Amino acid sequence: MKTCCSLAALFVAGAAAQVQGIHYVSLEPPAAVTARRGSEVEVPLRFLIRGGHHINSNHPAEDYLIPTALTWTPGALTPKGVGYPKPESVKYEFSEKPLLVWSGGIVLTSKFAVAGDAPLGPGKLSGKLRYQACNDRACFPPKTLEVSVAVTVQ
Amino acid sequence: MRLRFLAATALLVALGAGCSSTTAAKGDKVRKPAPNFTLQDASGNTVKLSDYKGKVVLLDFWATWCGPCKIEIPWFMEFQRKYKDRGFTVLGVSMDEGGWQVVKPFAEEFKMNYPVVLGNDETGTAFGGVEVLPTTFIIDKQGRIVVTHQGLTGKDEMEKTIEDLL
Repeated sequence: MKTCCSLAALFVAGAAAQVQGIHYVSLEPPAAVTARRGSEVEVPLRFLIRGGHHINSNHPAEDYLIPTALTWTPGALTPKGVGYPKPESVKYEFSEKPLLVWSGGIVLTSKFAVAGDAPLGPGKLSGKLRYQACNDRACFPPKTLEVSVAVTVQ
Repeated sequence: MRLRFLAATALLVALGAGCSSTTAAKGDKVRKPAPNFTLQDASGNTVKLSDYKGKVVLLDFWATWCGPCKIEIPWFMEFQRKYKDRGFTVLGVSMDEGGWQVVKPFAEEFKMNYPVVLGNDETGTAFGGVEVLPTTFIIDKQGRIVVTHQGLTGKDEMEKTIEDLL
């Protein structure tokens, strides 16, 4: 631990200005979606959380915490809600009671309705994952990860 | 630029490994001046960092959604009580996007006994980019940065630095 902290200390000055765009969550490349007119389609997306970090669940244990939320821009398909996995309950040194968080990888499954007159052919689903990450000693400002999934309406 | 990028990556790796970081306290001759800023407190009063020249300042970048920050705030309140009459102050810079609407009730609930101002990206950038919360700078009476703590660090270590500077 000491070595690790010494290493970090060596690099602190002037470094953070370069890391504003760094994300703590990434999206595994999603499979293309095929959607039939007049039906509903489920789109599972796997997000990977940087090792040693966690993000709050969609319903955090404390009011002051920022919930994770996946939202979609209405387009050819109509968003009908997102299914979130069950969070882990983890007690950190900085929290009085266990927090409801995710770490590692999570799958969020979004449901879309496809209108009977939806435009045929290729398009894309555009969304945003809003999250706020911490490790057991520090927190990082809220981030928004752009999400895009190729979809073909048949 | 490349070096700065590598430095940023190393910092994040280290923080990602679950440790916090502290720069070694700098000797009198190598301390750099803290960037000045002009921000507002909850009452709309202008607060400049340079107003505190002549005092030892613990400058705390924090946010209401930051769990580790909530551990440190009671320490800082204790420091404020203990050392404010000896030429010391804590100055909190909230980085909450929600502004006073979220910061004011929090400060009241915690009964924060030191000045708090609302920070912005410009303030963060001036201090090298505040990407990690809490980030705490201890500044000497001449307005120079003595030590930087990123993440939850030791209360005793901070208090020793303050006492050495008073």
